[in-house]
Amino acid sequence: MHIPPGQWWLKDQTDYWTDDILDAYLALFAKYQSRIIMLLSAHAHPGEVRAPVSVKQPNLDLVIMMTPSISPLGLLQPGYTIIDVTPSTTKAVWRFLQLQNYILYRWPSFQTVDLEKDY
Amino acid sequence: MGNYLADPPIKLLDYVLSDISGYGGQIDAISIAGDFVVHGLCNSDPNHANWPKMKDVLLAITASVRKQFPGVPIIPTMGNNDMLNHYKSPSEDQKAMFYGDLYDIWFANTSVSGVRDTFMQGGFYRVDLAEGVSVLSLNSILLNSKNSEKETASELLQRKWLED
Repeated sequence: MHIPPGQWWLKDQTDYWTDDILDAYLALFAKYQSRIIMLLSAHAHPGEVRAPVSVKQPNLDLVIMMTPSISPLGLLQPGYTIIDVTPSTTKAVWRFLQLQNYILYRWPSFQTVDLEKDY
Repeated sequence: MGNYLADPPIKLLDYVLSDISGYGGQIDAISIAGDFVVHGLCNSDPNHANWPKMKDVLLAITASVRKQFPGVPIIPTMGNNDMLNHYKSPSEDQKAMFYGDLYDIWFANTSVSGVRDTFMQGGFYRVDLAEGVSVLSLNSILLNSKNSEKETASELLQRKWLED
């Protein structure tokens, strides 16, 4: 999906999804969460990993991965996610082009963020 | 190569794709989580959709990914900037054209099969990657709070499909 459940703040608090739809889908996610590895989304541009807490679904235990954008719009480094799934493990890294190094020096430098080690 | 105040030119996309291919490991699938189209191109006025220009962008980006990763399944989803009108589902009389065009760009003549029926119903679909690993691609435009074109029928179909 592109727009995940949740909220964001720019000038004020904004809910990504409508309330009735959020309730219905969170109930589904909670019901089947043992079979869900993660919710993969985007939309916000910086990479984010969220662990939502729901009053209505107190047992909800899911991870939302909001992958970073390739677009540098908004003073961001162009990024992407590599997800490695095995039957028993899930690993993810983000890779970010250090765009200023390429613009200034034609230096092709990428930085790797290991989400398990670094967070 | 781009700058920090704009969306990327195709050269920057290709540069990042080349890093992905060189990073190591087998790539089984590529998920593109929406917003193929540059900010500001999809229109807020339903009478002035820029769909032909937007399709050119969608085609160019999809072609770049396919060129770098021939044969690798691409699992795309639509973002708010990929819609005929910003953040809005297509109207009932636009659905066949909109989802049909996206299907042709993203899936026609590719290894991703069996997705057409649900995709045409509302832009959602399932891809099985390996034993026990599937991707369920939801159309979150149907769910978002800024969607004034409530496509309730498609959303209910998506919800039922998800549970099934």
